[in-house]
Amino acid sequence: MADHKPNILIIEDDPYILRVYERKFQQEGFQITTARDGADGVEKITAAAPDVILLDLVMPKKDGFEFMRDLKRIYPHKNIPVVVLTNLGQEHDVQRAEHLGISSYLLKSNMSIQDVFEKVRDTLHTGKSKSS
Amino acid sequence: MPEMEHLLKHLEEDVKTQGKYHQMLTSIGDGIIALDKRLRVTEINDTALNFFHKRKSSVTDKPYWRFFQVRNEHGKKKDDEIRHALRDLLHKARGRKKVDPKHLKRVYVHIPSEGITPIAVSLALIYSDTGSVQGAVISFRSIEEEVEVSQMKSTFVSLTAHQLRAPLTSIRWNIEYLMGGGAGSLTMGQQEVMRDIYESNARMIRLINDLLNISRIEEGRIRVEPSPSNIKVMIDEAIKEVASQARAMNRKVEFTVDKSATEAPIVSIDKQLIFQVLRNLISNAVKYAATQGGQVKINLSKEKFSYRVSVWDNGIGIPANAKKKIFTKFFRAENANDVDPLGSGLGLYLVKMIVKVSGGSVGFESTSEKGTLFYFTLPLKGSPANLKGKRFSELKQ
Repeated sequence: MADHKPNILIIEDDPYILRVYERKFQQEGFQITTARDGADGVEKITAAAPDVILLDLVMPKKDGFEFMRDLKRIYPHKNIPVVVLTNLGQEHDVQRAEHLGISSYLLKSNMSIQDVFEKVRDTLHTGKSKSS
Repeated sequence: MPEMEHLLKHLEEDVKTQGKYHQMLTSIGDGIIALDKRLRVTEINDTALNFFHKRKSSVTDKPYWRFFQVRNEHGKKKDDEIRHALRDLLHKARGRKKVDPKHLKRVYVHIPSEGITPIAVSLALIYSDTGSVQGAVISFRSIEEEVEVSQMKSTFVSLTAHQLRAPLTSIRWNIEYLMGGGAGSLTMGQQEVMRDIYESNARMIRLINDLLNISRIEEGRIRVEPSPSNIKVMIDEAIKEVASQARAMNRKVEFTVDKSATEAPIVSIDKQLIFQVLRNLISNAVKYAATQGGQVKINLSKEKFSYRVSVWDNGIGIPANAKKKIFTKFFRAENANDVDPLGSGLGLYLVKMIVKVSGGSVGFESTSEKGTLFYFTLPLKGSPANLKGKRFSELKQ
């Protein structure tokens, strides 16, 4: 991990969930950029230069799957690790997301906020994203 | 000529009776098809003809399956369960035995220009006055509306539950944040309140998960992913999970393995699902065991075709009037309600449904005030897989 504060881009449409993420990651010393949906996320990605992305799947305008496609198109060579947190638990959703190159797929309702943070931290440490 | 008069009168009555039967057959709301022993149509009422868009002349004396085409719910061809059942009935009736009618709760049939429709079917044999079998009768009715209502109900439950999850998750995460001192340290009193809120929130999430899991299992949408698993190790883990609860309640938990099952008891099951069964049964036993000298005994044994896990406690038992309903959704026995008023009545239902999709069976023996023994089996050949469904939802402890 780099010496600077790690940058995280959080893309989540539920404002309350978003605020919990913000609080937790601020407390853990992250530099945070937030986006309300996939389209907003794509717009902010250059300025945010994230080391890791925390992504929701079901969102208005542009969902998580579309965001992943855009990310691959805009940065074909930059493997930014993406942690997906969602309540979609269907096998084809997991496979679809994995096919698009995400690092971890987590179910919100099964996790504590500490779990989420640890998963993001571990992903940052291994620093890798599965490239599809 | 009184004899002739008598005969004529008899004939007249016969015709009247036949007419009455005919009228009944025609005007009844269910579709009725009478068949001979070779399953060819001998009589069919208007409801059945209208249902299949057929004319009487085109179906009479022909095998019924020419127009009565059984499919699966997606419209694909499948084994004709009606034909199977009819042949079975006819077979059983050899030697003039009376055979009970057979009911098929849901069968899908193909109707030209309409598509696939669910129907409920009853099959019965027709006997002559002398008791010999003449043929069979199929009666059926459309259950399209019932199926639609039940699907709507289940979609409603699963959508509502799904929608409730996001706010519940954000509440939980916020509580965790507060309890972890994220917004400044809490006083002892504040910590205590927070713990209560946290517990209530966890209960709501568990309830919603149970409802979601149940609606998935009921609709065959639960993912069953069997892999070779050591059932003994799983029981050990489940016991570990309830250990603190057992200690707090002063219950002695014992686990024994029969000689039959001492050699690596490995069976191909969905670990997460079966673990839920173990967790529910063992924590129930701990909860409902005797307050003084409470004991829980778990046993694993191997039978000819299955592993058998039994969970016994020396507790309150299941009252006689509750025994029939004990595996029913939302049911709670009165004495259980006294011990734990917060139970949802979903635990044992879930146990039954999971064991069923895993290819096993479940049961219990109980004496009120003495104790209860629950058991379930898992087939040695393993559980059938269903890789298409959704994963089981659970809140990690």
